[in-house]
Amino acid sequence: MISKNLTILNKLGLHARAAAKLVSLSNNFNSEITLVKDDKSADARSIMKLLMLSASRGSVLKVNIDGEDQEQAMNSIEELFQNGFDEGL
Amino acid sequence: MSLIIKGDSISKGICLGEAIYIDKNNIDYAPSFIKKSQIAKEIEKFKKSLTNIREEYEKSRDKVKDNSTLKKLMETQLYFIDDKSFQKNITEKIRNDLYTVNWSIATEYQKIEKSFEGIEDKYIRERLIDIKQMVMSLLNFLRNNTTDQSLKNINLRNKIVITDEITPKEIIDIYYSNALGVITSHGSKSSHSAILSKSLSLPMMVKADASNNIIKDNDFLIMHSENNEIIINPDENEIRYFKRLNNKNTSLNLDLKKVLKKKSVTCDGKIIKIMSNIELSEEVKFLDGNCDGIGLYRTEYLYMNRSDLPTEDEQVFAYKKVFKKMMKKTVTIRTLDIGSDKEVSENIKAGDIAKNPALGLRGIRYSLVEKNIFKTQIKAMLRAGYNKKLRILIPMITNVSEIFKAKEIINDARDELKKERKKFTNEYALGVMVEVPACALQADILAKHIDFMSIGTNDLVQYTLAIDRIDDEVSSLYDPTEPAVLNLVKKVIESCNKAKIDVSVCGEMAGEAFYTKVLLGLGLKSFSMHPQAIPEVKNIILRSDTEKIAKAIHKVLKCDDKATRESLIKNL
Repeated sequence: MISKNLTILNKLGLHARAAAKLVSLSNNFNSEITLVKDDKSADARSIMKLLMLSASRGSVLKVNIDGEDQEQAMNSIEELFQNGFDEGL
Repeated sequence: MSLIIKGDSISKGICLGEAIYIDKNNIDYAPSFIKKSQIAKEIEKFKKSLTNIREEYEKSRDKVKDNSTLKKLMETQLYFIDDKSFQKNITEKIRNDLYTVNWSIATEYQKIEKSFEGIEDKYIRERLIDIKQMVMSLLNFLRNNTTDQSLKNINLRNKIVITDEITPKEIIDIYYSNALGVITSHGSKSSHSAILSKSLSLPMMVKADASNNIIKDNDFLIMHSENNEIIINPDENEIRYFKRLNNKNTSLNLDLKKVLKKKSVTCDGKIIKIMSNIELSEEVKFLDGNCDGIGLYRTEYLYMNRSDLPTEDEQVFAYKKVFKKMMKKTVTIRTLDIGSDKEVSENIKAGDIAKNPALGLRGIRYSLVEKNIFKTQIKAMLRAGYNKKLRILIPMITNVSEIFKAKEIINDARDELKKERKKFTNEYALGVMVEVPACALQADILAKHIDFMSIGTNDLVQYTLAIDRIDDEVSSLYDPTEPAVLNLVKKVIESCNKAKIDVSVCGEMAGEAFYTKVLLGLGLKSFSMHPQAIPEVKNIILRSDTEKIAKAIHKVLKCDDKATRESLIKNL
């Protein structure tokens, strides 16, 4: 398993459309992907759980990925975070 | 013991019947279980409901063609349906706890709702609405095998419907299901739903204190609209009294109906035109042919309660229905007037919701921005008006150049129809709504460029007096007989007479008997009103002496005091 702390950079935070993008990206991989914020954790394939993290701009999320394609998955997710979920920063 | 509560009446009349309480956001939390042998079947039911609402969502998404914002929104909705953790939790509840699928969904929603309440970010917290909507669709499907949340599935015959808020579509459903009336705890007198219920003569009261379950299912109610009262569980005497009153009103109405057969002439021999306002093509069914045409066909309804835009053919179909029923009589179709107090659907939204929509992008202003929506509508009107008497009415005109710009688009529409080799009319009349004071003040200049004018008094009063009629704090100051308003109306009528073009009043003022003589006094010869108002207004027209009124009207025009003015009007 690999882990990395990623920061939400886009203005609106991890809102519905951004979360949908993360779900859709995660579906491309086979690894288990979990996001942790404070005492809450969310399966990256569940839009509801992601929203419940209540992650606004500046929040730091711990991303845990476990599986055969964990490296590629982490790279892609990190890119999505850095792009501000393609919404501009 | 009977209990009386207050509400705002939309249409007149008395109505007696049993209440049916409809909680549209109702999620049933009552526990229910299955047997072990039913687990597979129950999970199958859940999967089927997911597949079905997914298809529904996809269908509505595909209907949105040119609106990328809306399309993205609908795409996101699909992620909620596909949510693995939601599906897993529900399947587990069915398998491990032997909950029925309905109860599993309800309890899971309850849990989600709780988690969302704790979310600080308002923007994210509000997405609970999407989840709730999905849950409601699922539960509705499981209950009725349909995702349609309409009232059509409930037996409303001879019932009085009690609910929080009501959409225009629901008004139609209620009307066709033969319910007696509607009472809502929210809403306003000038909402689209209210106008619709008035035009369908469906008794309706809004802002009633029907919340907190004061009215319960099967309570016997008397809606006494004249007094803005609802009597809950009346005693025998009250029932007897109101039944008698109701019968008396019915016979009075029958007497009034007789005037419909008479020619519309004042007692000094002036012919007065009486036309109908309609909202829906279906409404023409209810006109009994005793009016001189349609003075205002509002087309907003065609655009509402949907996520896409009505096609040209769809509009042609609706307009043709009206022309067909009206035979050789004039039909005045108003181009799309969104904004202000009308609900704005996603499909016809331009930009953000305006801070002050009454002064915002509405009527012709919107049409000149969304030129294609306007052109499509014009093409449909011209096609439906082939061999008929079509009048095109443009709302919210402020100056002459807007008329020129509109004419350009109309010419484009005609060129396109010519190229497409479609049959259409070249003999239509073009007119404008006089709602903006600027338009009234310049009526003599505008009159040179158009064929008729129609005075929309609701907005003209609102803009002249700077009073928002939806705002409870000032709505009592809203008075169409303020001298400033009457003088503007007078100016418009005189300008049109001078230019020898038609002029009518189509606002609510035309349909209220109290104002009939005032308008006659200002020289009006053409009224357009909702069909239910015709008998009462016509009755007054038949008894009016316009020459005598003309002599007395100047006193009203000068009278600043409301009470004195009212008594002057009563004595006209």
